[in-house]
Order: sequence, then structure tokens, then C-alpha cells
Amino acid sequence: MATAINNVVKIIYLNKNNASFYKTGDFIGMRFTNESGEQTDFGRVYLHRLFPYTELWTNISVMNKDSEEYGLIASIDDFDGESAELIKNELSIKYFIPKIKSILMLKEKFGFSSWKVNTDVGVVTFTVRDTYRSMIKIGESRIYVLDNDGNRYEIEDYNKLDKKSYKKIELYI
Amino acid sequence: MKTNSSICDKAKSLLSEKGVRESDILSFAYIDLDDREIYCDGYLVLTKDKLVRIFGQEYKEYLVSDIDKIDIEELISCCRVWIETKGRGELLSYLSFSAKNDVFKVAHTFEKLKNNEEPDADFPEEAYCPKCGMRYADIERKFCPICMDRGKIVMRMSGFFLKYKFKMLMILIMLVLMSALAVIAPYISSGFYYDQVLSKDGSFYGMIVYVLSLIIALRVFRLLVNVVNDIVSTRISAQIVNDIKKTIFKAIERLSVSFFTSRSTGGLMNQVNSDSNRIYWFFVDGLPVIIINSVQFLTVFIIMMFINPLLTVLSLLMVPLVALLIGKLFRHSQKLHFRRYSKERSMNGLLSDLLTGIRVVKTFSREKNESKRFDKASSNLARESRRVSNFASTAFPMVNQLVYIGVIVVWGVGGFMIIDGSFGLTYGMLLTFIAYIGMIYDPLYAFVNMMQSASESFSAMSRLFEIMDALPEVKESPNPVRKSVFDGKVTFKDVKFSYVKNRRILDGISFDIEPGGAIGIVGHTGVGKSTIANLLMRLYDVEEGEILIDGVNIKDYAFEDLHRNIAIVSQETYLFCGTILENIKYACPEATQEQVMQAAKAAGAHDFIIKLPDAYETKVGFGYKELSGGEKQRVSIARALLRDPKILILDEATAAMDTQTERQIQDTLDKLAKTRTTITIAHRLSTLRNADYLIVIKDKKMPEFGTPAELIKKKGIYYTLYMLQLEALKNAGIAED
Repeated sequence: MATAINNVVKIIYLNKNNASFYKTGDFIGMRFTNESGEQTDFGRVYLHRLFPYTELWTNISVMNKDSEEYGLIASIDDFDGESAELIKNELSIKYFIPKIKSILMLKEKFGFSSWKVNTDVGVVTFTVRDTYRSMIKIGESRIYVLDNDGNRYEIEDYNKLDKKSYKKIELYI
Repeated sequence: MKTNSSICDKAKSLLSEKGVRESDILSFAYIDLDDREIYCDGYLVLTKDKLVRIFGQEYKEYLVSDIDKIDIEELISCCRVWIETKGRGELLSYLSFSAKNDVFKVAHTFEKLKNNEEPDADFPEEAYCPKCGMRYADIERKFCPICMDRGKIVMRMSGFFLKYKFKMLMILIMLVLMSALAVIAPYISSGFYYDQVLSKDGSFYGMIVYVLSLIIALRVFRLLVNVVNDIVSTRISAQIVNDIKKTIFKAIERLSVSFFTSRSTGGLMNQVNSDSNRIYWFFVDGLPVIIINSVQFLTVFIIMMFINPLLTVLSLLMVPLVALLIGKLFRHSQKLHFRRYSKERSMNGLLSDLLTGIRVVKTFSREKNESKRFDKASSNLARESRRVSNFASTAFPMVNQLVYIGVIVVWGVGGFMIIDGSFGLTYGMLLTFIAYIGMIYDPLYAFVNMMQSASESFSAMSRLFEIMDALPEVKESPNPVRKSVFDGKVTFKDVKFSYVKNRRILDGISFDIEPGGAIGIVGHTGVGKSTIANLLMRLYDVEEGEILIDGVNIKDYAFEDLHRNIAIVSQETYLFCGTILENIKYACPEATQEQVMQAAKAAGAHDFIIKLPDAYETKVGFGYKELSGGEKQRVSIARALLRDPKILILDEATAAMDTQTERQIQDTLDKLAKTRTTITIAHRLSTLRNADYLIVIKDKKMPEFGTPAELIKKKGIYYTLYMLQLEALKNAGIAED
């Protein structure tokens, strides 16, 4: 069955042989050479992780501003030099999520909880509605906290938090 | 997350150093992430000729004349703000979602400035809590959970209970009475009985039967009070819970569709069901229990001090330790309960998922795997339930042992006092005293026990106010234009709309439909075809531009008139639990059986209905007869036709039917269409073959408009779609008209 699908559906895989990324202003652009050797400059492109929770550097879709896909990067290892650097940089910007290092305060009142946390990019305070549902567990010990405004914060491994921080979130895990 | 409502002094002085006067500022925004995505205190400031970016002491300015646009791009957990200058994008800053509204305002002011227009006065402003400076968790309600006073919430909620004041007072009186009887009982049955009845010096010496009768009478009286209290409580609880449920449902029902799309149905159902019980609990069980236990604690304490102050102090020595221990154990028990609850929720979710999708499970032969998944979830729940029971059966009895140490001490010291004859302590008094020790610990258990429930009640009250205070986004005009029957002329004038800010779905849509006209809307999935129908029905309001019916803006019509004259049949049909007849009559309850049958015939529903054993009285909906997609659509069309609307919207209304049935219904609808305006949205172009005009929607715009023949001649988007479908039909051996 899988072979049959393979024959009818074609995924365009991008690699250093058929695509190159370049800087356009503060963004990234892509040039693509098709099988017949014609080169197209797509201008600014947008990257999107297809498995954002489990795969960081594989299966990345490259699309235009209307989310129409130009092709797929199977692995970042298929690129090197400036292209690889630009892809990595663009993905880390797009998927920027502050990582919580310690929880300085967590108080629950009226169904909202107020947090003050120390992250890898500084101290921040935020409010969470329905704390239990807003803490999304990924895998064994990773947690995403979703605040009232839609911002995400990541606890990479709750077992590695200091005891005081852990105690504050223990009830919701 | 904190955002500032005014520019801080440091930034102000930096601006003034650079020659930017406060009076020159047209708009500004706080930005909380710098250009390396690190938290900072920064600002974007717009004057009539400059755009300034400040990060701490770092200052950078751009000339407004050089900038083509300011764009805010939403990433996964932050926004990227950039400017376009001479076709080149330049990063200005990043910012969290919490800070984006003000930046949108700067971008909006900039756009208006560039077009020499005045910025919109009603651009939504952010609101900050004046007390703590934090942005309100809920802007519409101006609700700050940090500064919100519990007392205020209880006061506001108690207003709701005012109408039950007499019944609640009755419950309170009975609770006080029960508490007083509980306090008197040990005195009569222990101290009084030994010292006054059995002792030779007692005033009631030998009057055993008399005193026993008194004890029995007291018991019976207490029992009666208890029974009456239970009857009154049960009666008023049902009444109050019912009232709260009605209030919550009414508050929810008046809100606009956008409110429902942003919240889960399960969450709202839970809110109606559980929150009403939680609120009731606080006022009818919780609050009186606090009062009664406080009174009991104080009364018992005073009596104990009166009997023997030294023994009182000795017996209370354990109170702080016990209180501390109970608090700690309770927190742990709460954690265990919470875990059990979460496992229960997972198991129930899985069960509901599996039963609903049982056909898929069976088709793919996944029974064994699903059994394993269920076993795991069930075992998890069993394990957590075991933990809860183990803890309950060991921890709290251990605390009781601690209380018992206090009792032993009192027995010992009291015994010596009686033998010694000091402090005038008698055996009866000692017995009374020991009975009271238990009663002084009871309130401690009660207080700790109710802490969690009280906090849940406060959350429930807060959620209720959240809904009660939420304003419907689509509001009826205070002085609406009344028109019972529309002519049916529909005009869209440069309509712009987006569900999510900055993600426009329709941009500048304009068209006219004359009364009785038929228009078809064509376009790919997700281009906004159904949005046009939603806007016409006023499920949402347009962002810019206007929609007119018979020359009057739809915002000016009364909801009642608007909804009576427009009916929509959408692809996602919903039939309520009830008979087919009730479902067809839903929008027109006064219709006769004959009218219902006529509507069903016109909708092509009559033919399948008569084949059902119970015909029009067949029960449909959850747990009853399951109709196919096409059958449901036909019932929905009948429901809409019965209303006899002046404007009929068919949004993929016949998509689930075979071509022959669709054609039959189309023919009937065409006949009916002569007296009404019809808007048809469809992918299948054959559905639109009788439309007077067609609108093609693509990339938020309306690139094509005209009669089907004109559009085919034009050889544009419609032509391409038409040829594709024609080819598909030819390949399948079916010729199109």
C-alpha cells in the first residue's frame, strides 16, 4: 500500500543539491533548482516544523506566506554552510519558547494562577487560566505551560527542577 | 505578563534627549523582548515623522517617510515586528503575545498616518489593574485575580441568595440549635448525671427516670431538628441549584458565537452543571459550617475554662501540633485525590473515545490494542484509588491517636485532682470535660476539610461572573429599525473581516443582489465563503465596510426581524434530540402538520420520512435513530423552508446528497426562489447552475463577478474550475448540461 501511495504522491525533498537559502533583509529566502535544471528564486520563505514536539531538526516544511509548500527538508543534515546556519537560526527564532529554570512564585486564585519564573531569557510574570489544563505534558517529563495570552513556556524536565519549584507544580503534574 | 500603560521615566528622558517631545507622540507600545528574544523593557514610539525603538538605553529612529509598512508576524510563542523600507524587510523587535495589542495599535496609527487619515477612536485599548499594574487577566471584566477581593465576590454572590434569606435563616437557626444541643448533651449525660443524680449531695439525687427521660427527650428533639433541617436543606438546595444553573445558562446563551468557538463545549457544560453545585455548597453548607464550628469552638472553650482552666490548657496543648499535622496531611490527601481524579478523567475520556469510535476500532482490528490501553488506564485509576484509601485509613487515625494523648494527660491530671480534692473537680466534671475535648478538635477537621471546597467555590463564583460580565461581541442596536418582512435586497459594501486579528479572511468584498435574485459563491475550501453567510446572519460583525439589507445596515435591524427573514442551511447540520416533526418545526412551532409536510416535500425529505416506521414522529438525535448525512440535510432544508425566509442561504446544503436527489431539490428550490433571495455556496458547480450571478472568492478578495456565461467567457478562475469539473464528469462518463 505504501508503495502505491509513493507512486502517486510526490514530496519534494529539499537538499543542498537542489536548494540554497540566503539572507534577504532580516529574513531568509530560497533558490530552488528543479529536476530539469531550471532555477527559481522564491524570495522570502517560511519554515515550519511538522513534528514540533518530537523532531527539532528533521521534517521541516518550507512554504510561502500563504502556507503553500515549496518542499520539505528531511533533515537539516542535508544542508551545510550558510544554508544550514540560516535554517537553524530561523527555526530557533520562530520556535522561541522561554525555558523555565525555576519557579519563584505560583499562586492560584479564582481559577487563575499567577506565576513568576526564572527563564533562560530572564525573569517573567504571567497568568494562567485553568492551570491543570494549561500544563501540557509531552513525553515523560517535559511540560509546556500555556499562559492567558497564548505565550508558551517550557519546563524541559520537571524532575530536574529544584525542590521548591517542583513542589509548586507537583499538584498539576 | 507585565506591560506598561505609560512610558517609564527613563525612556521619557531618553526621548527628550533625542528631541522627541511627549506632545509629539501619536502612539506608543511597550515591547518586552529585544531583537535577540531576551526579556527587556522597551518601547516603540510613533510621532508624525519618526518611528523610534528603545531597548533600555539603546535608541534607534526611522523616518516615517522611509517606511512602507509595519508588520507584526505571529510566531509560535512570540511576535516578530518588522518594517518594510524600499521593499526590504528589517527586524524591529520581538515581543510576547501579551504585548502585541499595543503594537497593533502603533501599526494601525502608522497606516492611517500614511494615508492621511485619523486613527480609529474605538481601537481596543489594553487595560491594566490600577492596584498591581498587571494587565487584566480578563480585559472585558477588568478582572485581576491577584487583587480581587474574596469578600467582594462573596458579597456580590450573596445578593443572589437574598431571595432565599428566610429559608437560609431557618437552616442557620437549626444548625445553631443542633450545635447547642450537641454542646449540652455531654453535660447532661456525663457531669450532671454523675454529680447531681448519682451523688448523694446532688440536687436530683435518685431521680434517675426523670433525668433519663430528659436525656431521651433531648435526643428526640435533636433528631427532629435534624430531620427538619435535612428536609428544608434538600428542598432549597434543589431550588437554588436549579436557579443558579438557569442563571449561568442564560448568561452563556446571550453571548455571541465567537465566545463559544473560543471555549470547549465540555468546559461550558461542566460550568453549568458542577459550578452551580459548588456555589450552592459554599452558601448553604460551607458558610454555615464555618459559623457553627466557630461558635462551637468558642462555646466549648469557654465551658472548659469554666470547668477547669488548668485542664483546658493541658488538653489544648496538642491543638497547634494537631492543626499543623492535619493541614499537612490534608494537603497530601488533596494531592492524592487530584491524581485519582486526573486518572479517572483520563479513563473516562478514553472510554468515551473508544465507544464513539468503535466502528473504526473494529474496521482496523485494533480491539486487542485498545483493550490494552483501557487496561492500563483502568489499572492506573485502581492504583491511585488504593493510595487514597490507604492514606485515609492510616493517616487520620494516627492524628486521632495524638488527640488521644491529650485525653490521657487530662485523665491522669484530672484523676489526681479528684483524689487530691483540689480545684473542686468532680468525677462527673472530668467526664464532661473529656467529652468536650473531642468537640474542640472537630472544628479543626471541619475547617481544614473545607479549605479545598471553599477555594473551588470561589473559582466557580469567579467563572460565573466572568460569563455574566462578558459582553456579547455582536450587540443589538438600542433603537432598532423594525421591519417584519424584508424585500430581500442584499448589498455588501467593501466588507473586511478577520476572525483573528491581523489574519484577514475577507478584504474588500462588494456585491449587490436584487430581491428574488439568486447568487452563487465559488472558491476553494477555507477562502471565506461561509464567512459571508455568517456575516449576513450577524453571527459576527464586519470589521470594516457595511452590509445592507433593503438599504439599511444590518446592525440597525432588530435581531428578531433579521433572523426571521434570513435562514441558513449549512453543511454541518444539527438535529436536536426529539422527533423529526419537532426538528422541522424548530424555527416555526406554530406551523401546521400540512405545512410541515409541504416543507419536507420541497426539501426532498418527505420520501424518506414516510419509509420510517414512526414517520414524522421518529425520534432522532443522540441515542435514537441515526439519519444519514443527506437525510439530515434534507430535514434542515425543510426546517429553513418552513420559516419562509426572504433570504435563504444554502451553504453546501446539498453536498452530502447524490446528484439526482440534489437536482430534484434544486428544481423545487428554484421554483421557490422566485419569491426570495437565495445565496448558494457550493463546491459542486452543478449546484450553482441556476444562479443569476456568481462570485468567485480567492485570496480574501473577489476577483470575479458575473453571470455564469460571462465568467466562462472571461476564462478566469471560474472557467478553470468549470473545465476541471466538466472533464472529471466526462472521464466518469457523465455529461454535464
